[in-house]
Amino acid sequence: MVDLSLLQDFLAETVEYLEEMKESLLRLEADPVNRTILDDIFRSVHTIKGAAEYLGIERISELSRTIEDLLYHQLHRSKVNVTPEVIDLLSAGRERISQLTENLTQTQKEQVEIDDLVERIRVVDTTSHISAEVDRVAANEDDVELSPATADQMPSLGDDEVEETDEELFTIFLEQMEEHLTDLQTQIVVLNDLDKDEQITTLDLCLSRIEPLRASANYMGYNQLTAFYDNWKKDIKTARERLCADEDGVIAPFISNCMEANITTLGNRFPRLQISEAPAQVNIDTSATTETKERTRVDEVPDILSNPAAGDDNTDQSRDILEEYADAETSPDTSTTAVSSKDNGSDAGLFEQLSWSFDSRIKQNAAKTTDDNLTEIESELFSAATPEKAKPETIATVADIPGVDEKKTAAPESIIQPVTDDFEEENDVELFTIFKEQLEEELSHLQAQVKAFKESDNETRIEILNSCRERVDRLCSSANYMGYSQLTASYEAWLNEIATAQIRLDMREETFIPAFIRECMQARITATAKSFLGITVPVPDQDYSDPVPDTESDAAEIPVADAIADTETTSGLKSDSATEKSDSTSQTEERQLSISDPSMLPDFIAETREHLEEMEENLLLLDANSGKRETLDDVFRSIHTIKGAAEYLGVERIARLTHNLENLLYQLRQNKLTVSREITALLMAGWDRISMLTRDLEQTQTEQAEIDDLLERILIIDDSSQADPATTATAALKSENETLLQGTDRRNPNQDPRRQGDQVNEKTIKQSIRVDAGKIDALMNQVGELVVSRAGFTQLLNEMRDLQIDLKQRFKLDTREIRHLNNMTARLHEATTLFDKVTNELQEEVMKVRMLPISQLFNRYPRLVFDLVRDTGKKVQLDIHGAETELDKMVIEEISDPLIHIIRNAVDHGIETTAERLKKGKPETGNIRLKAYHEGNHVVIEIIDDGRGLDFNSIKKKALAGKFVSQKELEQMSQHELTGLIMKPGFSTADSVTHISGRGVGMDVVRKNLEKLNGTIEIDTTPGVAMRFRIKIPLTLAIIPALRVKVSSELFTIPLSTVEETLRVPIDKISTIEGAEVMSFRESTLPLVRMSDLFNLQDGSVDLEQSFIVVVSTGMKRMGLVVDDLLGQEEVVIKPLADYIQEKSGFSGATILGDGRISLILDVYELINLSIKRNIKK
Amino acid sequence: MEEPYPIQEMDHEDDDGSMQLVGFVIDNELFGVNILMVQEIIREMPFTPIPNSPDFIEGVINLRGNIIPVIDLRRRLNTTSTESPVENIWIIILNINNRVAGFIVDSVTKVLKVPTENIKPPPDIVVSGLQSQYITGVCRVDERLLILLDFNRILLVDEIKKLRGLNDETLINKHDSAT
Repeated sequence: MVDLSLLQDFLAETVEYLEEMKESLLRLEADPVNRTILDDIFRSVHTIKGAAEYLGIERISELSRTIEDLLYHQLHRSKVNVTPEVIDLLSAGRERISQLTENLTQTQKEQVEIDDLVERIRVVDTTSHISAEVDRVAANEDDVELSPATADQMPSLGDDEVEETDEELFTIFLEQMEEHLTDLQTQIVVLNDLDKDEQITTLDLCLSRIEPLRASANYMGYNQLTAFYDNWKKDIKTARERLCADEDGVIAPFISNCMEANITTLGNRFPRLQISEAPAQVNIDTSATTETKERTRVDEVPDILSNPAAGDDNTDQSRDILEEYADAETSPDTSTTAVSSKDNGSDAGLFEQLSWSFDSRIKQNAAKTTDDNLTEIESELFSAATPEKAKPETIATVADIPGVDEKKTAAPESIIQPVTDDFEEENDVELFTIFKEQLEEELSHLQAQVKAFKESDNETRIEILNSCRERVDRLCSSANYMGYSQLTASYEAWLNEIATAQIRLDMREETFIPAFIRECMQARITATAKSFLGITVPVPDQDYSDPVPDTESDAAEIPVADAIADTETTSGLKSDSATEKSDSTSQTEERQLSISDPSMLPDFIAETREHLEEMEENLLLLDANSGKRETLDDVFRSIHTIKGAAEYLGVERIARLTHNLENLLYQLRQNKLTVSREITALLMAGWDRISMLTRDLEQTQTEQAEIDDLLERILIIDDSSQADPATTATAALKSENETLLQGTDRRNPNQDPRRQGDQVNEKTIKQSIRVDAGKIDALMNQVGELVVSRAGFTQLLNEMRDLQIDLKQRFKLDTREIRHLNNMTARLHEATTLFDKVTNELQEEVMKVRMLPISQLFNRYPRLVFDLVRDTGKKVQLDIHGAETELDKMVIEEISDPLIHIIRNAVDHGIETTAERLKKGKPETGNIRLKAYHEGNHVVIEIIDDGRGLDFNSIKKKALAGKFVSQKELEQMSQHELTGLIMKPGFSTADSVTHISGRGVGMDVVRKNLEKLNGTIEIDTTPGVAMRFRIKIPLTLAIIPALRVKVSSELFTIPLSTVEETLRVPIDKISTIEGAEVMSFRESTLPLVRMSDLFNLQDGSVDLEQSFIVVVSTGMKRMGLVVDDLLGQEEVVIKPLADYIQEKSGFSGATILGDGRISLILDVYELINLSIKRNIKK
Repeated sequence: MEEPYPIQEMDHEDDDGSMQLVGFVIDNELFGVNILMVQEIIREMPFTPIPNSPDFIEGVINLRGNIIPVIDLRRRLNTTSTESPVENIWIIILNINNRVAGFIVDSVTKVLKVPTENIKPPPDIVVSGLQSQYITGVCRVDERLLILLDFNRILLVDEIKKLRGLNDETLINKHDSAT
């Protein structure tokens, strides 16, 4: 059920994001190319989606998901401007979400329909894919129509960045070419008018011009350009021969057909190259570049076709070109390894496109070339482009590389994500389950066949490959049926690879087999399996019973590394060293960047924390109610949500860990395992590890904590429970998982109207806003200033009264004369009172804003106790009272550590073992009570345990041994004072240091932290029976009530929380013991400190007969401060002093008085220490 | 809190390669500080002394609601001269790595513009009785030697803390001899 309180937050948040989105949309309209704006919108939508999904708000989540998809596609096509249509749709979507939000606020139901809009968005989304393709194709090749095949291609052909080959080099190359071509052009112009001999010389000259061009083309690695030049040269030579042979009418057609055509071709091509390749360096869209190159090369076909002389080797050439194409594709692909993983499957598509454009080219050319030529050439070309002849060859070259590339699919951050996204979209669970089952089955078979493939001979291999092909084909068609276009494309590429392999086998090639198995078959199987989480396929050469996908991913990672090495060598061969260098950097970058969108990390971390918190509670509950179904479900859900988000963002370890934990939980839910201590401990360990990883992420943006040990442990338990074959279990998990989640997703209000109605009656939604904590702090500061000025007003009023009395007495003014003044004073008094009241209320309200229930803190401790008890023979029950008590957020943070120490001590030292307790006649289970309540301006936290209490004998012994006190002092000490000893740094009663406690640091930390808070601690103990810690802390840190005192001419402020009493003592009551002044106070001796001595100030006391004494206490120690005058009590605003002044100075800060003067606030604890030090020195 | 001694950038230069300084005088010696560090310059105002603090910490002042420590530069730098303090003192409020502190000086000069190349590294020998560790450089202005002070070093927190510890000891010792 939707949690109402969460719903409120959600609504508030959503409204916020919608607002942001609205702004972004407006900006986007003005600036459709700005990707940052798109990113902003994407982020807003994504957050809404996440929250809506989490809460099970169906329509909003579906709608936002659709929008997100649309945005995703928009985002990943940098070249395409956002069309007004898309912006309209986004606005409409935003509007609809906003309506739904309103519905929710008013009726807790989603009422507005969304299907129409979702439909519209999907249509636009798909068409925009196509139109994107159109745009791209059109940009590269103006005169070619769109191939329908492109629509099936990947939505994103990669916007990754790749350094193009040396630009400078290229420029030089172009310059050279320009020069030579111009030269050639001039030669040609004159060629016709010359006589034969001259013509031959000119042709020779032309040849000599073309030769360097060819050389530099060769140098640049443009093989096919080189070939072109070669042909050209050949043509010229032929022409020259024919000229020499005195053939007539040679030169005219030669000029127009060969020379001019060739030059134009080059001229046409290279300006385009310059245009299309140069942007590629900026825009760095590899795939586009690849395509551009392809196109350029394709362009050549007609050029060559238009050259009749070259017509003879048309077939050869086109085959060459196809090979070139393969090369061309190879080199950018290898140079961008990671990029091409996104291109997964596009190879096939590209090829198709290519042959298609061949086709269209030829058709256009048909207009120019002779009719008879056309059919022949076309058919030849077709045959070149169809699998029969040329394709196998071409693909043979291509195949190695795609084979390598596909493995990248195994890298978790690339294709898998979009694929899974697709799957989550799937509504028909049944269909999906069937699909998955089939997939799993086929994959397992494939895996088995791969294994067989390795060991069999060539003949059988071909057979095996055939059957593999069949299977993949089947998978392909079902993926197609399901509409998973990416998957289909990937399968198609796979099919091609298999086909190639078959051909190579036919040709008795054997060397490629290991690589083929590893890089193509296995990688693909793993990748596919991995993209469907929960599908497991046995991994060859590994334990068959090992069902866990992360071993698979390990297996997949190794080939990735290999692949990178491979591709590096290939690219090293094909490109010059500069390219190679940039390639390898781009690769490493790609690999390091495992987190897909760092900007989403903070959200992820915050969300994960929330889920973890929830999970912790449930885990403890799980332990207590030994695995109640609902609790298990809750834990499951938390884990699953974290997993989903982690996978989405590519936070690998968390994803893997949660995935395994999820498996474990599934076993529990299936009753294949029962909840035992061991398992809860394991789950908690998992919890810890996730928290650790989350922290790592927060601090370093990377995951640092290792998880393998934990995975191992989970596996062992998991394995032991596996009665069924692993595959079915996990498959079932997946479907079960789906249903469960569907169940949560479908918490449609309409399905459960009764319950919903009840809730509406129970509680109307409260409005809440989320405010930056800094703003509240600023507000608090301002209120602080107000408090200061209030003091100023009060002082003003007092002065006014003094003046009034003065006037009355000194100038003997009568009542009538002074009436005006009296009036004035009265009004001032009234105003001050009102001001006072308002200020008080304001202060209170602002303070309330900062208040949080202490349950935030208390909720952490059950887990702590659970952990502490686990390894001991103890049973401990933690009772919590008053968790609703509110406290300043800052105080809560500060008090956390001290409480942990006290509770640890209670468990470790206080509570006895079960056996011991029974012997003593105590109940078996020890009890620790955590209690919080308000007491005036303070909050009291009590920690009471019924353990053995303090052992005073032991304390005495330790105190002597540790030289904390002398024997003599010890004898004089009261029980109270003895208790105080445990707060000393380094003091510990534990005989041995355990992993939990015993180093004597704990209580010291407690004391220090409390000092910081102006809090006090009291310890009561009944040896053998109980122990009580009583912590008293002010509600807030910023404003405290305090006592103002005067010493010499200075004013000091003492926090009232530390003041026990103020006394006025006749001087003769003060006696001196060993040079230190003391007085008798309530039947004990109270040490006295003269503040003027302590601070080296002049003794300013007026009354020599009596002294003012402020009795201060830190809970454990008490002391009398001798001051010159008491000035009264006041609320003061604490202002910090510069750290170098404040530390160990005896002051905890300063405050500004009503008249603008500064008064230092005493740090009573430090003061007591200081005076003790002085006394010791004396 | 305990930052390592921050390296002082060789200061924010103007485009024309010169640096603007606020000059001030202590015991007739001319000192300078980069104008970008100066938050404001105020006339003397009442201090609240901090008991048991090092003697160069004059106390704290209330600067429009903020409590700011004031350091007596003369004492902090241990200048050898024994001239009696000037009547009308000034306090330069500096922002040193986000720590705001006031420094007492005898008088403040106008803003000086000094070409960066004129600023020379501090001589190893002690300049007018103050240790060269507090100096970032010296330069000549109107026939006078201007000493650029390294306020990062002057407000080195660890050192101040240590000094206070020393102070504490001496104080106790004083106390001993008194009793």
